[in-house]
Amino acid sequence: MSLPGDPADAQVPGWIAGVRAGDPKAAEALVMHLYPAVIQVVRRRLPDRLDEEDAAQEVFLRLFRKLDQFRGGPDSLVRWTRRLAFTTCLNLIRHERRRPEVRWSDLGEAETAVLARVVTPDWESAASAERESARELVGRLLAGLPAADRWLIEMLEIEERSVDEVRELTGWSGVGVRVRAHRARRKLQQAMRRLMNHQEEP
Amino acid sequence: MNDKAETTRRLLQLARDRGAARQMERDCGAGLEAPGGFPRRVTRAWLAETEPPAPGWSLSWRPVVAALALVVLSLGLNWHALHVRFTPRDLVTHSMRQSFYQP
Repeated sequence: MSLPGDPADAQVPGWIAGVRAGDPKAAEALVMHLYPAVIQVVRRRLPDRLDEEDAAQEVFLRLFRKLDQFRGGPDSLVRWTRRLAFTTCLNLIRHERRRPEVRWSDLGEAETAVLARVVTPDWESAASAERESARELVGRLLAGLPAADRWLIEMLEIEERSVDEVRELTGWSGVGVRVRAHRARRKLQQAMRRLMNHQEEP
Repeated sequence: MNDKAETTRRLLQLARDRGAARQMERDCGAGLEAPGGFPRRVTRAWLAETEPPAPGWSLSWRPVVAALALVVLSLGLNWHALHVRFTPRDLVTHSMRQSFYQP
């Protein structure tokens, strides 16, 4: 991936001009230069069952099609590419079949234990194994949400990214990120409510 | 505690994993090179997409519709010849003529 002061950066404007002129050598060089940035997003966001090379190819084809719209330097090209990779991944799994909602009877012992833990006053002193179970449970609850909501919760809540970081990766406005995140949290709360209601049923 | 929003918030806080997520992201991309043949495959796909269609065989909808219309017309004429032109009355007339000319 391109780092500040990367010697390849000096060649990027030439490669962009070459791609715009239809030069295959320039296109190959640009693919090699941007591949790590693309595959990073693809591997992080796409489910394992989708072929990462096919997804990466789709990202690059979109990049070549849209390269005329790009107005920036080598640094912003990497950011722009990551955003393109993110939206491509989102499009690829937009219509995926989501997993059914989690029922109380589906939970394992560790997951019910962590739910019992979060309602106690000393919930913050959870051991690392309990935190791992919490991550698994959150993962299962998130699997029932649309991809965009799932990724927003992961980025903002689990990975503790700032709104600015998410805005840069997604291309959404700051307000858009906050509004979408609010809706995503509401959906997660609803999933949690349904799960807990099962527990409270006689 | 009945507040599900608070339960969700606490669960998310327990699930928080800033460091592991960053590490996973670094592992996903750091030091990676495009696999052999991938840049060429992508470039070929892109060039195939941007190439203008080859001249010669360009099957537009007009010739297809014209051909279909001809087929329908010819089938219709055949049907007409078989079922309309030789009505039972024609056949009777024909057999009468035949018998008239016979000695």
